[in-house]
Amino acid sequence: MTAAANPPDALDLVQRWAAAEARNDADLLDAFLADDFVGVGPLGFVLTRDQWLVRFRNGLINRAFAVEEPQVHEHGGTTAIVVGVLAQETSFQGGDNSGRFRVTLAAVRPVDRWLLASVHIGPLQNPPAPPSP
Amino acid sequence: MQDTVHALQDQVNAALLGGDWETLNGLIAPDARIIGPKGFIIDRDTWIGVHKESGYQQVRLEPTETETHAYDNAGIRFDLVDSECRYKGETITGRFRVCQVWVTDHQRWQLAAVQYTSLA
Repeated sequence: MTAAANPPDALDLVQRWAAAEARNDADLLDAFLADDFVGVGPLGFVLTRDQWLVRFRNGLINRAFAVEEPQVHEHGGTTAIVVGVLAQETSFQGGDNSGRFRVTLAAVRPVDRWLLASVHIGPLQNPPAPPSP
Repeated sequence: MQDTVHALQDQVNAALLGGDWETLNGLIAPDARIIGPKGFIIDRDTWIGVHKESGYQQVRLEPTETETHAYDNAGIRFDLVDSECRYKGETITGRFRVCQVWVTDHQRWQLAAVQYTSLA
């Protein structure tokens, strides 16, 4: 008898989302975003679902894109919050936007699969150095 | 449900302005994660503790461009917030894009995540 695989969880969604971003694949991303998805970028701009999906046609190129150090907080099996570090090698219309950013992702499961409801990407500064002895 | 989340966030903002720690303890989830504009993560008690410091006073929190999205057991409110606080005699102002995630277990709603991004 084969044990049933665990159903995909919110972290699985986040990892598949990041992989789709890394491939610059808007068609794949389309399946992961809730209908009213909102994305907040590192400068505080807000993008709708359609605006998020069209970024690749507007000059966004991801060469690497991964969510590191994820902390998952699941609430009641239908909502999950993932906080982590977004490590990206990215250019936009020729300018380099690579870096490490703080990211909060909110995922919801309205029926039988997780969807991303929001992504908030913000700056991540190095913590202050400890005082010298 | 959008109205509920909208009103709850207004209660949190009022509690921050009024130093109402009891209300904040009830409305913010114990495992909430709050991310400031530099990207550092703090927990609920640390966040409330900062506001409780004797030298700290939140004097203005004005949300605009508010948008609230509701789901079965969650709500997300996005704001542009003009903030002013006084800390050890210094006045600090800022404008932030804020994302606030609320969750419910059908008994009560609690704020589970907040992220601030400073707008230059």
